[in-house]
Amino acid sequence: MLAPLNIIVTGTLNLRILLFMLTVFCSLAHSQQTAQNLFGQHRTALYQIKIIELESGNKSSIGSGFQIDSSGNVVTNYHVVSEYVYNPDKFRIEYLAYDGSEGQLQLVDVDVVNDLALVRKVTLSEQESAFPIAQSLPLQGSAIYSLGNPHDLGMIVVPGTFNGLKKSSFYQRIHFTGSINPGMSGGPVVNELGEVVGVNVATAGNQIGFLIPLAKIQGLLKSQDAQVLKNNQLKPRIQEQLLVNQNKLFSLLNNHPWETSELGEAIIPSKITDFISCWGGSNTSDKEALYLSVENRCQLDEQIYLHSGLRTGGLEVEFEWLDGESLGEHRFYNFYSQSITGAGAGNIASKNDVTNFRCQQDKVTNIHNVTNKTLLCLRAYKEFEQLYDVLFVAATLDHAYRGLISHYTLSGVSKESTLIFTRKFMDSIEWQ
Amino acid sequence: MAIVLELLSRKNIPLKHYKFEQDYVCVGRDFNNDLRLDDPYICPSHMLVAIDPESGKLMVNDCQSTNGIKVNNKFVRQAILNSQDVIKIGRTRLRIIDTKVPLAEAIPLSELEEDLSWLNQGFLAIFLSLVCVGFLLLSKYLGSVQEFNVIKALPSELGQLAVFCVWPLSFAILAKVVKKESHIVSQFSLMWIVVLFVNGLILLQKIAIFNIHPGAWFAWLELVIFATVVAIFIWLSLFVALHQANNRRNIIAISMTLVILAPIYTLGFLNSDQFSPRPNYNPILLPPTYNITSASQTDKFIEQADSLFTQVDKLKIK
Repeated sequence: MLAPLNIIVTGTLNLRILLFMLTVFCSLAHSQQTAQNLFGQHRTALYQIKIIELESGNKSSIGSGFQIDSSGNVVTNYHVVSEYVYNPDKFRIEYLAYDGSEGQLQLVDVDVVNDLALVRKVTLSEQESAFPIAQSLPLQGSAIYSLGNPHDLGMIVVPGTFNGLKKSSFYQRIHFTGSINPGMSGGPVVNELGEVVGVNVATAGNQIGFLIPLAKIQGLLKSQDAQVLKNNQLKPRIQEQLLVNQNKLFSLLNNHPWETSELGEAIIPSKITDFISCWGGSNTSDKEALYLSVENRCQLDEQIYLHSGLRTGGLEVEFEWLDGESLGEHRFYNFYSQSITGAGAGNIASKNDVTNFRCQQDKVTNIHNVTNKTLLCLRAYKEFEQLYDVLFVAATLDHAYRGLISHYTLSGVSKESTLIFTRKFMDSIEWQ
Repeated sequence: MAIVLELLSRKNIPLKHYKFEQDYVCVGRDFNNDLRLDDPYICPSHMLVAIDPESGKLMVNDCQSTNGIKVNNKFVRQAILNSQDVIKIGRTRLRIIDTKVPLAEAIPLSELEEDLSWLNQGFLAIFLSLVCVGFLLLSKYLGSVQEFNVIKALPSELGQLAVFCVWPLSFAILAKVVKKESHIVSQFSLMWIVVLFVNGLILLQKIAIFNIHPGAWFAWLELVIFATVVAIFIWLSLFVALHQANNRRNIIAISMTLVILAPIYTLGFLNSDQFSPRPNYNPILLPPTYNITSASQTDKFIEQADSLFTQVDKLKIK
């Protein structure tokens, strides 16, 4: 089946939701009419993309794709072809057209950051049809139509509503009200004129779908005439995109003063940027607790999918204020130690992708005279030079039964970005 | 010239000792004998032990007994004895000792044995065990974040203490079997002292790690200290339990230490760098009172991080 997508839904829980919901969609007679027209008009340019495992000769995952020009270029999701990208010797990419004809596809380019891939038909037929690409996004509330092949059931069209770009997100997505299902990944979303405005990518269930917006597709079209990527060019291409992406992310984060807020007796950087979503919580409703715990967490809503065991490009920042006056000094510090025990990476990665973590720890006093036990852990990406996952934990040591734990995880960042971010983070904490 | 006979147990441990100031000794069930043995398998007049007038050696003669004489498990009618020969008549075992053969030198009395006699005091053992219970309860209390209830915590802590008791008990049983004296009080006192000492060391270890953030060498130091403590503990337990030559005791203590530590450490080293999404770090935080060393600055920490990048880059190659 389709490779899973991950998107983050609500606050404190980092839910990884697969495209699973299968909902019957009812719509107006008008849009049914348009849908029928669209489907009849473009079905020849719509494909099911199959990843064939060479050993068994059968498909190991499926998705959708659409042709964009007469030279056989087909756009799909990166996550649909990720198995091939990671093991080009063990898989091949094939398409299945509406009329049942099949053929092989070659990988022309990928855009891992926006989950897009460009593949090309090896043999062209006499008459090639293609989807036109829209010039601009429609107005909010416009009807748009998602096309694809859910669960290998055959090509379908799902009418829905364009609800603008998802607000405050670093990895831009169109918010689509309509149901997208597994297997539809990579399928086009068109306006009433049949022009592509987005690509199906993920769902959060309950009629909330996410699409890759037009601008990103236009970016991919620059490679329309490019040569097919050789196997040894795949990883360097991905690395280059990841490096550029993290540079963009961290220059946005590091180049302006961070907004601060109060947490317990401390002043912390609360919302370090607009495109990070923050949530809070405390244990004040727990009457039996002998301590007070107030939390503040922020994270990027999305991570970059590289393969089923590897996500990157994520960011989490977390603060916890602990006050254990009724515990006393020794009991509090025992509890405090437990609270910083067992921190783990913020992204999924397997042992083939990354090294083990190595840590450095010390007692550090920052420019605001706050002393922390500070812990910085790193692991390197085995296949991508200059990229690291970072885990940082610090706990203040200035009070007998009160303390602030500050914590962040970064994934897929360079040394330079890490060091600048870490210094800024460490020096941003102060006492009131 | 005297003849000395020693009555032996089945394991050749001397039970009773008879000395005769004469040149021959009659042994049998009859009341006329010099040594009367109440064993139904012994004839009224069973055996004659005499000094050979020519060689001056001891010899045994069978007095036409029903069941005969066995010297070192061989039937004999007459035999010249060497020292350490074990004679069996009926179901009784004897050793006949030549008083002319000199005995081995005495094992020098260890001062340590006297020095450790204070361990053998009942009230001390009880006091130490109470201190241990108190200590365990205190650490449980300090480790809790909920309302602490002593009565609820007590059973598990007593259980832990009961597990510790296996050690002194097994040494006491060993000593009882071999030496008839168990020294159980000393063994228990020793156990509790070691438990408290080890806990003290753990506290010191925490303070050291928290203050100096040591590198990999610290794990080796911990290993050496732990091994030393275990070896000394085993050595002392053996010392209290059994009378052995020092060499033998050293060897047993060291080999037992190896047997205990080797599996723990080999497992530790085998598992050491398995892939984990969680980094391995020391989370110990201690109150300001224990914060002895000075802290560094942000700049220095960032500077040091440079070498951390090199370190993880090296892991890629492996």
